[in-house]
Amino acid sequence: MLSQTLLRAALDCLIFLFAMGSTYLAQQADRPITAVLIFLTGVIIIAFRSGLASAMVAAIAASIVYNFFLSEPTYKFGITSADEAVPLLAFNIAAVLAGALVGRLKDSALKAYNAQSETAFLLTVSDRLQSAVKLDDVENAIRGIIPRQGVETVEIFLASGKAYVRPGTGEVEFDPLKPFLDEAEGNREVGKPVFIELTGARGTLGLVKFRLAEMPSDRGLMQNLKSIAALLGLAVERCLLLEEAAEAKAAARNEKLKDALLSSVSHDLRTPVTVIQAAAGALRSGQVSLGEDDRQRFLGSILEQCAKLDRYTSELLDVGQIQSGIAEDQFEIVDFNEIARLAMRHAKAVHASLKLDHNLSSEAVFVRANGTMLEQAIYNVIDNAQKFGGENGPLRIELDRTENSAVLSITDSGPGIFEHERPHVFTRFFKGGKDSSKSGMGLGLFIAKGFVEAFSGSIGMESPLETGNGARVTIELPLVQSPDVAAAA
Amino acid sequence: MNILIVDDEPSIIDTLRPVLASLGHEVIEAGNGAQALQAVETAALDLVLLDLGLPDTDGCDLIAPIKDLAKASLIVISARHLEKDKVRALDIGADDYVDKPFGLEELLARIRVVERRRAEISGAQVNRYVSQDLVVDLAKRTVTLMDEPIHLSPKEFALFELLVRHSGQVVTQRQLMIAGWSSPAVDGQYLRSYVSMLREKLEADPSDPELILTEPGVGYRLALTMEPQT
Repeated sequence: MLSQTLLRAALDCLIFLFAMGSTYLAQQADRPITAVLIFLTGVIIIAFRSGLASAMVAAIAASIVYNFFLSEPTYKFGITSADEAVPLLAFNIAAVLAGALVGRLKDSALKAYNAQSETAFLLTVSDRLQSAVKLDDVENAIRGIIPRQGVETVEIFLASGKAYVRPGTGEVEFDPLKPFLDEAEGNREVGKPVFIELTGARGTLGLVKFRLAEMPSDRGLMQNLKSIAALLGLAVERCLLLEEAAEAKAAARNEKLKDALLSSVSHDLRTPVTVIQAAAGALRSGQVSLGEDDRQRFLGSILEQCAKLDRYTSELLDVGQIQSGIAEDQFEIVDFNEIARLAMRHAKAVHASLKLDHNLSSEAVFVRANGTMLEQAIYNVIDNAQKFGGENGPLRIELDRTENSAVLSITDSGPGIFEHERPHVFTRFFKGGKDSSKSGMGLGLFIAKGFVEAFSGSIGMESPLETGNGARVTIELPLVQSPDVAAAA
Repeated sequence: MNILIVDDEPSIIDTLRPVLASLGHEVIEAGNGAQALQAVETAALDLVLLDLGLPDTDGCDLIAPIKDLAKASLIVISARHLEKDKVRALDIGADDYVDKPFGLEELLARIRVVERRRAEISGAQVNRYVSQDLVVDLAKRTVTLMDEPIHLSPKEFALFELLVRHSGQVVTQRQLMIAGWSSPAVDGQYLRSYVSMLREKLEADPSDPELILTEPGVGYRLALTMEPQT
């Protein structure tokens, strides 16, 4: 700032000297009017460049110089005749008036320019802050447009109990004096600090620390900083409100999900218990007389419902495991072919009428997984295919290798799945079809997906197939590269 | 009786059908709301066992046709998480409810109460309800317990009369409030106070009631079967 002023003064002096030289030359060439005009022009240029004060200095200096060097008698102050007095007087008046007019014009133009750039700055700040929707955006938004208007840095401290939180960095400052104290330790080269309280409709939010290039000398800059602080306060409060609204919404959604989950689980667990209790009650009851067939059927359905309860319990445990994460040390290198065959055997044991076609070979296809969980995932997919497509023909199970992965596909020729249901088949508690007795808890495919993804694999469903019906679930797992196999062996 | 079982779990129907059949009832089954409505319109029904958690319909929407069209009695079978629906069902006309999972004896007892009440509705106007120890004379507005006259205030009598008329069945808080205060919006504290006064007068041990049982969140049940007399 200071050097700029000096430079400007030096340039003004240069212009002054140049004008004087030119005037002298014009005088020598016996062109007195030209000489006066050149000199006057110099004064006006200075006034135009540097404002009223410089213009007045230049005009007085010019008047002295004109009197001393240029007007008769030269190199002497004083006037010898009226002929000499008139041009001198005229020159003085003209120089002072022109200088004053142009200088004042220049000054007000400069003021207007400053005011406009301040307004523009505030507008930019406001614009930037409009787009901030998260607390940490607020500081970043304004950081992008400084240093400007003498502001070097901006730091926001949000009050949080007795501590301060820096939303820009996430730091928490427990010493309430810390924002002020670090000034005492120096660090002055960054600039002069100014603190302004951040306020919103709900009272004090915290404070904002500006560092300025120099101490604010005029009230205008302080006013500006207060305006910026007010804008920041608004933005911070808006972000706080948005965060609160989002949190409330999330909590409500969570609550709803929990309700749905609970009601679904309690329904699914209670149905088998109801059947068991009613059947056992009937077997024991003195007032109900059942035939031997019915007694056998009741015993059978009690066992069946116990198995169902057991399956539901392990499904819930599986879901718990998926949600809490599956540890790496549970993984081993397993043969995908062998695990698929185990799952098929398991499925056949559960569904006596199940028909399976397959292309599984004895060749080992190594993948990294947990054998039990992978078997469960494949079994769940087969079980699902059997439920919804098993009556329409055998299920087809194929294992294919690509360069880097192995893909197991389970295909049924059932009616396929509705388009609107397809995105949901792998979600928790989704039950396909209208027949709820068929669909269990709606966890089978969710568990399959959870396990497969834990093994860095992917699972997908296509339906209907080229034949116009049916569904195919594919489980893709990355192949283990040979060094690992060597290590495992 | 002709009994319609509405439940989307075939395993439950499969268990109940032989039991009810062995007791001489005719069993019709429906797996969803649509089938239930069809049965209501076509078959002559005495009782409907309605599971509220149906896949296609809100179970409560079936109550009006069951009561109006089929003139059948209705026992709601509900899982506990449908508590609100259960109370709503009772308030709009269901006769009783059983929670899942239910004891078979309990369900059969509820069915017997319904059976008895259906028999009495078809008879003449009832003036007295009688059980072994208790006599409630509706005309004279007197209550006699083990040959001892029990004095009840008019409001106490109004509440007790409703429980007696539905002896063995649940009566919702709302129904009791309407009987006692002609408004369902009465402070529940009043109702509780009157019920405890009734217990003071009628129970052998008011702190451990055996006659007027609380059904939490639903209402009260008179745990006696009262015979209607003309």
